[in-house]
Amino acid sequence: MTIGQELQNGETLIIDNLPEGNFSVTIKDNYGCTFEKTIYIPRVNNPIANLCTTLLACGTTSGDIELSFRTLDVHSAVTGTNYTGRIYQASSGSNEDLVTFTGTFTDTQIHQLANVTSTAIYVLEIISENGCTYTELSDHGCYNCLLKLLMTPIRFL
Amino acid sequence: MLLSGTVGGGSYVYNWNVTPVSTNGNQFTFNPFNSTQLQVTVQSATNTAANCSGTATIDIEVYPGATLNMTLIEGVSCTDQADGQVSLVISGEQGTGYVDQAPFEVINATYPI
Repeated sequence: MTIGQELQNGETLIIDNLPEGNFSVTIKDNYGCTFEKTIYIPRVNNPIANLCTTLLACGTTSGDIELSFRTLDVHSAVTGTNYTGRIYQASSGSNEDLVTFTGTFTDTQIHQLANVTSTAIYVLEIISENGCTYTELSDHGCYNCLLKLLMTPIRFL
Repeated sequence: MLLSGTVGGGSYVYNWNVTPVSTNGNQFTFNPFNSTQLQVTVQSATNTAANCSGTATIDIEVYPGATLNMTLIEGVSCTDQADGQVSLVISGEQGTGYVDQAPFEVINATYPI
């Protein structure tokens, strides 16, 4: 869109390359009167969805788990493009990679994480080709113990 | 909108094609919502002969509004990206016999900082 651009009655104009925030346009008609409209350009949602891990065995504080997730169609600049990903332990201080991988929006992935600890925080991070970084925290804590308790049949003597 | 006219002596009956919202002698007030043609026939109150009446018309143009709509197509893919997209459409009065509102002209655009 350029200043001075003419629009006919009912003509649709597509405006792209907009950054996040409020975008306003003022248009003048043939009488010289002006009309203004503002719209908010938001950031799209995180494309990481359905992040899920298997759980540590009840009573253990470390072990191997399986982490799965899928990526969503949230933006035309991202969908269909490749990404690089990694899973790292945020609480270690070193942010050392546990797993690295590649993928293509939209897809589903499953990764094995060896020797994770129940108290650590693990982060799934993917970086799209256009430079966007998306992260999601993995929660693999003690829900398994609660679930195990709930699912254990109670025997009355 | 107030319309007033002058007719020579005597008393007259005024018949408008649109009913005035108020009347004060030979002054009539209208509140039209759309462009229209007002017509008045003035008839002598004392002589109903056809040749004792007259008709006048006036075109009244009500300034039209315009409908300006912007619709979000997609937001930005992440912070610091400038890949948001919107569509804009504007429509106004056209083909009514009065001056069309189009062509419209983009005179300003304010982008987020």
